[in-house]
Amino acid sequence: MRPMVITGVGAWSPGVASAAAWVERRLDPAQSRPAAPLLPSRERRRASLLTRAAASAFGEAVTQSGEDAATIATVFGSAYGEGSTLALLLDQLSSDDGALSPMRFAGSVHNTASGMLSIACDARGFTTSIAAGELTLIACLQEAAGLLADGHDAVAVVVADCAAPASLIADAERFDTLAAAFVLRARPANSPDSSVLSCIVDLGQPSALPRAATDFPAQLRFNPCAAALLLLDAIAAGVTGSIALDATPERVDRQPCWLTIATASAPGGQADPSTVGQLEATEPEAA
Amino acid sequence: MSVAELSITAYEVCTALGLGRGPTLAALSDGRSGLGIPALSLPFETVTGRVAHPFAALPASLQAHETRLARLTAWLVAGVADAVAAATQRWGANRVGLFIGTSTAGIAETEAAWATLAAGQPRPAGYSYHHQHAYHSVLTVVRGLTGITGPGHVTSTACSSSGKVFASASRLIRAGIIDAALVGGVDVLCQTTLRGFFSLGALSAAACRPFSAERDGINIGEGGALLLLERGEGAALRLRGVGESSDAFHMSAPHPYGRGAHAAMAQALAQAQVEASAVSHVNAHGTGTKLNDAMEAIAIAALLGGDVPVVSTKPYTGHLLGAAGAVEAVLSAICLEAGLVPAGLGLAPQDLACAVNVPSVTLHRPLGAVLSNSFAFGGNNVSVLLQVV
Repeated sequence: MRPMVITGVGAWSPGVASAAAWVERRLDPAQSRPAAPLLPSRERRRASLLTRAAASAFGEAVTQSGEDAATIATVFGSAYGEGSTLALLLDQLSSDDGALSPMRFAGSVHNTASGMLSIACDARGFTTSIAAGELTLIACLQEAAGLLADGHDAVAVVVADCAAPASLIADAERFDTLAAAFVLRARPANSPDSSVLSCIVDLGQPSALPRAATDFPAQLRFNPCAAALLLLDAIAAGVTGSIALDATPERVDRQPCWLTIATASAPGGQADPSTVGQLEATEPEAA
Repeated sequence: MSVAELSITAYEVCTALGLGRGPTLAALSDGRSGLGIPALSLPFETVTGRVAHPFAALPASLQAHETRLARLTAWLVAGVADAVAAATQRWGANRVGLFIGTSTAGIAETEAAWATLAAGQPRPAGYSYHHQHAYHSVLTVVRGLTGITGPGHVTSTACSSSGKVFASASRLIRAGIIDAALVGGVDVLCQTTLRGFFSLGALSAAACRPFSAERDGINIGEGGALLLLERGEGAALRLRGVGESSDAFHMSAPHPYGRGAHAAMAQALAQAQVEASAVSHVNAHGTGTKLNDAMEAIAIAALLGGDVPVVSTKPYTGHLLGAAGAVEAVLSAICLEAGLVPAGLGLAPQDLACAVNVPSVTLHRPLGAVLSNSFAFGGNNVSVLLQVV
């Protein structure tokens, strides 16, 4: 299959306003509410932190790429979906009358960000919302590869997970909200072969590849979408060779899957300066 | 985009109509509903499509993922296990994908854990957000039972979830990344969905009546279906096209003229490169709400005319939400193979504003192709075109 190029990136997390802020580690403690400029103010007020974070990262990546938010295909990924809205509903279930808020219920579906952004951007084409645990980023990239092969010009991948309801997980497993976005296009046929990034999902076998540096706190590393931060770092650093996108190596018991990306530079090759990174999804290795 | 032939070489289904193809076909043919009194404690009247079967426990290696949803899924896997084993042998385990739609995932167990916490007790020892609540838990269970190691994900776009898995799988097969895929959908009854649809005023107190002038809402059901898709012409039953669109209109109400529904059906036909006249019946989303049935009838009539038979299986099984797309694809396949269009239960008096041909009795006739629709919160639409060749 044809490789993909990344033409825009975005990110949001508490303290992290953008993808550039992340890779430069410019943390701003005042950054507690995603701007989400694509959402109308009324929708922004009722949206969950997860949806606002996803909308911010999506807007940043689409703007950088120069694509049209109304026509680009969108793939939203989240391991756990609208966890904070679910917690509100569970509290309502436990109340005396057990009645649920219709607005909260409609906003509890996994595809809330996908639906709200399609409405806000008048996007009538393809959108989806998928989950694959810590492989969610890879699953989204594979879905994007299928869409590009099917003739879509550009695909936005947006991965986001919000903090899990604190009472449902162990203290040691808690994580902060995080969203990241990548705009992808099929690599032009005449594009140089430098900086081609391959995504390999190797199920069940510990990777022998060197790992990306995970120099950030457990509250972010334990977010199921933390692989996206490692990918942002790898793109910014122009990494060559193969690395494992494994944010929580100490927790191999929980997810028997390893993520790897491989970057390969052709000698003397120059990356197309209009692209942020290039990425090729290949079939998984046999386990 | 040309059509790579994609065969459905095995399927399994369970709903309130029963377990497997035999009881399902008998109920559809006889016009017999599986709806009944809910087993859940609810402060309002409704009926549900419950699967009253004590599913077996998961194998010890998957014990951490124990949920009712996982047990139901494991039952479905057993029904296609031989065909999946042959496919992993033929194509390689890493060339078989896995795409499952669900809206509820393990939320029923989370409701129980939350109630325990709300009563001031500690979190139940057996409960795990990561292993039970998580959407991907069902992937771990199916991978563990089948050995499938190819690309996979859960699609969760509410009521279109397990229609869209057909598209994810077929795109990766066309792209040459995989050669086969196990696709499907599973959802189980829980408080959140029943009370949630009640809060929206969308739940009927009695059996739902799609396209009737007296329709007043939906019923919720549970169950699931798995289908094995394989590259090539290995079976007469084929997946010919999938259309996907967005209404871009409202989070919980469809576009009133069925703009997105029409686009999804038209795209499925275009992908299959077949004319509208090739469609021998439509398995409608047909939830029984005023808004859905009105807009869906407009979209169907505009695309296919008013003569093609249109049926909703929701009065038989209830609305299976995230499992509806895959379950209704299997119900549609069973109808194609048997040459029958089920009767529209609860239809009379038909809403004259719904200018589509809903049969009031079971039709027995040779069929060719069926469009099966699923529409969801967020304005997310999918239409799946199946054909027997």
